[in-house]
Amino acid sequence: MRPLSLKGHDRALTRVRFNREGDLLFSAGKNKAPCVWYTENGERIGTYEGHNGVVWDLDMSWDTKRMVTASGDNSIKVWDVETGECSDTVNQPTPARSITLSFSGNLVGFSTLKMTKNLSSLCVCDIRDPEQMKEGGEPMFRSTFDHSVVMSLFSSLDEKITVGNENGMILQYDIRNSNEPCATNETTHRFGITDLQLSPDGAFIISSSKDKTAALLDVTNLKQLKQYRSERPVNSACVSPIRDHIVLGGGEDAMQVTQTAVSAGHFEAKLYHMVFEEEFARFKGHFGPINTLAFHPEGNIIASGGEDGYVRVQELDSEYLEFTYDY
Amino acid sequence: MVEVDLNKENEEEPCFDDPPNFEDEVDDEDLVGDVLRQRPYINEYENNSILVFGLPAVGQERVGKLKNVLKKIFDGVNSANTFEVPVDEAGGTRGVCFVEWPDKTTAEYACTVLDGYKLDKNHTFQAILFSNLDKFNAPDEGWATPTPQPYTDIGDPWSWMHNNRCRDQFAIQYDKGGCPTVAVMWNIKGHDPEVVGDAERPSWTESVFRWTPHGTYMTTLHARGVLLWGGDKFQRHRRFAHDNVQLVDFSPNENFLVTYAPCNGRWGEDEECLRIWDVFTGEQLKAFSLYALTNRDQLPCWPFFSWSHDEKYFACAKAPEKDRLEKEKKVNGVSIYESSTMELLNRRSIIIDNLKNFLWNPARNILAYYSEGEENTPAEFGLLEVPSGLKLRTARIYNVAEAQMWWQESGMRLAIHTQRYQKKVMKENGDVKYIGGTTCHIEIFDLSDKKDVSQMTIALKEPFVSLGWEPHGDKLCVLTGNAAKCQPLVYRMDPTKHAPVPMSKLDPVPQLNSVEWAPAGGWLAVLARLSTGGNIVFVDASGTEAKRSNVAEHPGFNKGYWDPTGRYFVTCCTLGGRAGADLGYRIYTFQGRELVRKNLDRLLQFKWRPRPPVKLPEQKLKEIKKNLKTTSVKFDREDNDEKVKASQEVIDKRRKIMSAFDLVRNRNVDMLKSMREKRMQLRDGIDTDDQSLKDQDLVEEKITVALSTQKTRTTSEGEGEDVGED
Repeated sequence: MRPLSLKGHDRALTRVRFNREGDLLFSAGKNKAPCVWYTENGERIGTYEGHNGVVWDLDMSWDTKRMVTASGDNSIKVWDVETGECSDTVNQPTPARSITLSFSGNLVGFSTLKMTKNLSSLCVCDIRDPEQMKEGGEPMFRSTFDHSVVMSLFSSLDEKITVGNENGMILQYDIRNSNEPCATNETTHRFGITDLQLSPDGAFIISSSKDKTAALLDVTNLKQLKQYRSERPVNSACVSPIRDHIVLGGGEDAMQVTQTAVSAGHFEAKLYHMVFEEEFARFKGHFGPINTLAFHPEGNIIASGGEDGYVRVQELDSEYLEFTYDY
Repeated sequence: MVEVDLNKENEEEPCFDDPPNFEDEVDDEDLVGDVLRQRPYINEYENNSILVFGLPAVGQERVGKLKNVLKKIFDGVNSANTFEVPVDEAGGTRGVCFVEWPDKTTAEYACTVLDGYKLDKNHTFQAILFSNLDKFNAPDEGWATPTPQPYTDIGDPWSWMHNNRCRDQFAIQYDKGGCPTVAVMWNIKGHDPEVVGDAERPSWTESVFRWTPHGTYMTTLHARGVLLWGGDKFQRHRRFAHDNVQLVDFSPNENFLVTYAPCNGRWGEDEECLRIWDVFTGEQLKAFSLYALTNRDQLPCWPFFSWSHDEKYFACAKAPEKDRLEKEKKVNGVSIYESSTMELLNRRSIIIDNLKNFLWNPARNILAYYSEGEENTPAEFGLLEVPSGLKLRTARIYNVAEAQMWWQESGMRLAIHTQRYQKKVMKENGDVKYIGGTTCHIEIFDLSDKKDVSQMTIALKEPFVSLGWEPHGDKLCVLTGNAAKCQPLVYRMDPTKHAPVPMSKLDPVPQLNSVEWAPAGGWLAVLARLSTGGNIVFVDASGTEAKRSNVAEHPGFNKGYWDPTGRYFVTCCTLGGRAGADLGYRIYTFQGRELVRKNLDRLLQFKWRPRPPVKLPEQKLKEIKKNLKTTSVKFDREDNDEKVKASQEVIDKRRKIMSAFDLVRNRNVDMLKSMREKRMQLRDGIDTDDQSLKDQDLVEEKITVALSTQKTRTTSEGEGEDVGED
C-alpha cells in the first residue's frame, strides 16, 4: 500500500493520534479545526469547529467518546467525538499548550504557558464535575512553574501525571500532592522537551527533545533506560505496540529549513531498536520537519504530521514485520 | 635678610684654603683627560689580542707545520701580527692560540674574519677578543655533571605495524560528552572502528594533535610545550618545553621538530619564538627570532621551514630588503640552512629576484622556484640544485598572472600551472584587471632522464581547477571547467612522446575541486569539497584507460584522505568546514563503496596514522606476487572467520543488554498486571487489556466511498450513486 498523504490542515501539524481501536485518526494543527479520518482509506470524516487559534494538543478517551483539545486561544475544550459538538469550554489566562486524558477518561490534565506575569500551570480537572469545568473554577490539582510546561501525560492510571518543560526537565506528580513532584529527571535532556508518550504496554515513557535525542524512561521513577541519538532536533517519538522498536522524527528547526537542502534537513522518520539503541531504517515523505508521530495499535502503521501541513499514514511492509535482530 | 648679609660681610675675610686631608671631587680625567688617554695602561695588550679556539691539537713534531699554516691565515688578515701557540708538557698544542694585532680596530676586524673560519672539514675557528674574557661569568660552583635521565622504555614504537590483519589506525579529535577527546582507533573492515587499548583520552591535547611523519609518535600540544607519545600503550615519550606553543612541524624523517610560539614583545623582542629540536634526544638545537628572519612579527606561512627530503637542509624565504624609505622590497632570495650545523649554507642566502614560491623536490636536493615577472620581465620557473646552486633548468614565461607548482612524490616530474593574460591594466585602487581573459597552461619538467631536463606544455581549453600527480607512476590528473561542470582529465607520460598522452575523458561532475591519488597509485578520488552535493568520484586509472568506478556523496564534507596503504578512503566534515553540515566521517573502500558512517559532535581532526616507508626487496615482491592466489584464499577465510566471530560477539553483547532491560520491563509489566482490578474498575468494568475481547468488540462495517461521480440519465431510480466501492 502506498503511503497516504492527507491534506486537511493548511498549516503545520501539532498532533496526530489513533483511537484505541485504531480505526480513526485524529489530527490537530496550527489552523483552528482538528480533523478526524478513517485510518483505512484516509477519508476525512469531519472537523471540530470552535477553537479560534492554534490547537496545540488533543487526546481522546479510551472508548473514543470524548475528545479534549488544548488551544492557543486560551482555552481547552471537551468534544463529543461522534457529533462533533463542544460540550465544555474552560478558558485559561494564557494559551493551553498540552492536554491529556487519564486512563478512565474522566480526568483531564493540561498545561498552560507562562506569559508576562502569569506563571505556567498544570491543572487536573474532573470532567464530570461542572464546578471544576468552568472559568475560575478550582481544579482538583494545580501547580505553577517558572518555566513553561510544554507537554503533559497521564502516565499511571488516574494517579500520576508526567510533564516536560521548555528547559528539558521532566517531572512526575501524584495528583493528590501538588506541592512537590514524586519523581524528577533533570539530566536526560539538555534542551526543551518536545513530546512525551506512554509505551503501549504502559511500562515506559518515551521523551523527545530539541537536544537531538529521544529517551526511554522508566514509568515509575523517570530513570533513563535508553537514549536514541539523532542528527537533528527530535520533535516526537513513540514505541511500537508489537515490536521492540521505536520511531522518532524531527528535523532541522523550522526557522532554518529554508537554508538547508532537503537531503541535509533529515526530515525522515527513523526507526530504532528500542533496546539496542541502533537505527535500522528510515522513511522519507515530509518536506519539512516531522512534528508528531503515532503508532497504530496494530503496530503496522505509523502516522506522522509535519511542518509541511500533511499527515502521512505509512503502512509498514511485510519486510519490516519479518525483520529481526539476532540475539 | 639683607641685614644679615651685611652683617656677615662686615665680620672678616673668609679662608679659601683647602682644609687638611681634603680630596677634590673633580678627578684627573676631567681635568687632563687628553693627556691621560696617551698614558700607556695595563690592559692595552688585551684590547689588541684575540683568542682563537678550534685549532687542531697536534703533537710536538707537527707544531712547526701548524704554525706555518696559522701564519698564512693570520697574515691574510693583516701581516702585522704576532701569535703565540701555547703547548702542554709533552710539547703538543692545546687547540688554542693568542694573536696580537697592532691596534684594537684590527683586532676586532680579525675577530669577525676568523670567527667561523673553516680550516678543514673538522676544524672551524672560533675567535673572541681577549678583553671579552672579563665578561664571562665564572662557572657556577655548584655545577656538577648532569645525572643521566632514566630511559623510559615505551616498547616497540612500530608495534601497530605488526597487526596480524594489517589494519591501520587513525586518530580523531571530537567532543565526547562535552569534553574534547582524542581517540586512536583501529579501522576494521565490516565492523565499527574500535578504540586502541586505552587510547581514548579526554583533553589529551590542549589544541590539536599530530602524527609524526612516519607515524611513530602522537604529538600533543600544551600550554607549556609539546609532548610525544608512543609505543603500543601510547606512553609519554618525550617533552619539549616551549611556553605557549602554537604550531609544530616535523622534518620528513621525523628527526627534527620545529615549534613556534608567538611572542608578546614586538619589534624584534622574540629571541626564541621559532625553535628546532632533536626529536631523538629532546635537545633544543637552535632558536630563531622570527623578526630577524622575516622583518615581521607575524608568520607568513606554516610550516615556516621547508625541509629537503633527506633533512640535510631546511629553507625559508629570505627576509625582504628595505629601500631608502624603509619600504619593504619584494622577497629576493631563499635562505637555506644546513641541519648538521644549523647555520646558513655557505653563510649566505641564494639570491632569486622577486621570489614568489619555492618547493623542495621530494626525492632529490633540488629546489623548484617561481619568481614573479614584472612590467617587462617574464616570470621565471627554475630548478636549483643544492648545495651547488646550479640552475638545472629554467623557463621564462611572459604575462603570467598566477602560477602554482606540484612535485610528483617520486621527484621525477614537476607540474606548473600558469594562468596567462593578454593585457593587464592597473586600476587606481591598486586592483589588477586582465583584459581579453586569461588562458591556462601546464608546463611539465621531466627529470627522469638523467642527463637533461625536458619540458612539455599542455594548453588547457577550459579554466584550470586543480591537479594531482600519481605518487610514483607516470600519470597526471587535471581538473578543468567551472563550478557547474568540472571534468577530470587523466594523462600518461610517455617517454617516447613529446607531450602527455590523454588517457580518457571522464564525465563532468559539478563542483569538483581536488584530486587525491591513492598512495600506491592506480586509483584516484576526485573530490567536490565544501559543496552542497559533496560528490566523490572514484576513478580506476590502473589500466590503459581511466574508468569511473563509483560516485559517492557526502554533503558538505571538507576533507578527504587515503589511508596509508590506499585500501580505504575517508571523507569528513570537521569543525570550521561548511556551515550546517553534519560533523562526522565516512569510510569507503578504494572503489567507493561506503563501509562506515559516523556522526561525531564537534569533530575537529581525522588523521590516518602514517606508516614508515619500508622498502621490500625485489625478490620478496616477486614472491608475494607469485603466491597471491594462495594467500588471497587464506585472507578470504580469515575475513569470513572474523565476520562470524564479530557477529557472535555482537550477539553476546546484545543478549546481555536485553536481559538487563527485560528485568526492568518485567517489573513494570507485573506491576501493571497487579493493578488489573483497578484498571477494569476505571473503565466501567471492561478489560481493555484482554486481546480476545478486542476482536469480539469489533463490528464489521462496510464503508462506501464515492471515488468519482458521473451524471447519467437512468430510467430506474437508485442506481448511479454507488459508482465505486472501496
